Amino acid sequence: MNKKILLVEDNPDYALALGIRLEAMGYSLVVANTVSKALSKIVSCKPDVSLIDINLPDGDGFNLAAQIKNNPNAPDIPIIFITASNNASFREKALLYSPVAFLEKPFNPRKLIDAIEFSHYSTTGFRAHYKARCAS
Amino acid sequence: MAREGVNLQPGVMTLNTLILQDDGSASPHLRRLVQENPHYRFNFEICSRPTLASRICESCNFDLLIIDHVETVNNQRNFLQDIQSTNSLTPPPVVFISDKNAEGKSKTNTSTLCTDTLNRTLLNSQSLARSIHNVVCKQRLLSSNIQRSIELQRVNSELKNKNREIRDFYQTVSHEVKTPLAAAREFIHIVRDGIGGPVTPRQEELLDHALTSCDQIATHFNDLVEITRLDAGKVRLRRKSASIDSIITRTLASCAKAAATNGMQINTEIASNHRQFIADGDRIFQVLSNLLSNAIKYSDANSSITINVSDNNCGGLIFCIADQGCGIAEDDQLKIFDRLYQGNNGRHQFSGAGLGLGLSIAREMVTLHQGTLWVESTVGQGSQFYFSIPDCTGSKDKDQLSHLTKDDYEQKNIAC
Repeated sequence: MNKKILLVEDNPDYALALGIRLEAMGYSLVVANTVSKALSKIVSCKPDVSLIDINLPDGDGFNLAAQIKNNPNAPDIPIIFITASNNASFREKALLYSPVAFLEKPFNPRKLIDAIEFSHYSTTGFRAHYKARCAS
Repeated sequence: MAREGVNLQPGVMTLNTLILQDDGSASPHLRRLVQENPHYRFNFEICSRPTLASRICESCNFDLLIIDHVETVNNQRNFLQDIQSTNSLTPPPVVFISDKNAEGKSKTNTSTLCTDTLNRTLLNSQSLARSIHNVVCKQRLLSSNIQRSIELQRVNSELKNKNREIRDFYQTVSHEVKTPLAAAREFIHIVRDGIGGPVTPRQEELLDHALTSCDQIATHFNDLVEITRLDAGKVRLRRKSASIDSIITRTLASCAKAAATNGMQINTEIASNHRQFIADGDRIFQVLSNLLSNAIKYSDANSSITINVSDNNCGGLIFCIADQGCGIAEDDQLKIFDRLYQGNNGRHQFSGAGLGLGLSIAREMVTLHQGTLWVESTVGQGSQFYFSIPDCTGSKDKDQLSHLTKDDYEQKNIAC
């Protein structure tokens, strides 16, 4: 499936590099460099997965994640955080919004592709599993 | 400030002195005795009521109080508390002239007050001079002590702030370096993967070296940030049930490439009766992969390394990484855990030994788990690095497992 990825990254070089990689892997790409642009692109482009840098010029990635989850039009987009900080508290916060791994820059492209492919599975799988458990 | 006194002659200090005396007629006599003092000159203020005395004390800075007032001498504690509360920093020293014997001395907590009590029967110009000299010197020492401790507190808090600034700075630098580094690494990887066009196997190999270098830079910055966080006590363990097998597998995977490049054989022996233990698995993995990568670095090609996990006799685990490398001289065996220590081994020339933080971080991670990390080694016959994690298998106390996972899920680092 040709997934549409929303990449929210303010470093233009890194955004370009990840963009080239993702397009080469067959994904289509939507890029935003701020929280506000990301929010408008979520509505207009309806991406399947979002890749979010935590440090953004107009807010942090967690804030954006919270807004995505609260947006009735886009609550189910899997979120994968990417950051250059190896801060343990970031990891805990990331888990609030996403069962998917948190990627620490620099990371291997293989990890990124795995995370994207796994994200959908883990988000839906997690939910299905959770619902099944609640039902029983 | 009057407290500093005014030097009329070199070496002779003038003390602003308040005399509290109930018998006004004795005042000239006492003043004469005081003035016979060879060390100081005196400016006198005389009063006869304690309430007035403490009020005057409040408004003027005196260098000395002489109390020849029966009622006040008998209630030294109240009077001293009174003048202590009216003076912001250090109240003036006090000489009491008492009719009682020395046993009647004040039991007041005089940690911030210098007092001396003179028995009236022993009162003469020499004894008074000694007593005044005594309290004034004590007072000087005391106020310089207080000033120093204030100064130390100030410097201490300044240092703490600086430390925090440095830590924040390291974090910022690390973040700012790693973002473009990640971009560089990704571009290299894109070229290497042939996304930008065909690449020859030789070019691919060279780009692999570039990728390894990028990863080394990232590791160094992570180590720097880690050590500052450890110093600040900011590293928290997330203890939960961890699988021995999966930690060993992760460790092997992290070093698989380096081991294969050097043709090394890595054996694992899991002799523990437990599959799980309670620890911060990520940190244990960090320690193990550091020890394993060191073992690979300092071993000859085609040698073998053994990772062993066994139970100790108190419900804990002992991990051992044994290599057949160059070994560590006895003198160096303690130093290698010191920060920034770089092994200087003539036999094994290893370039790019890193920042020298790895073992220091590993030891602190083990210490956070209340364990110990040590080395046994003979030069030329390899090294064995051991670390123990105590009480982690739950076998000592069956309830410990559930207890730890719930309550100690996050244990704040208080060791640093």
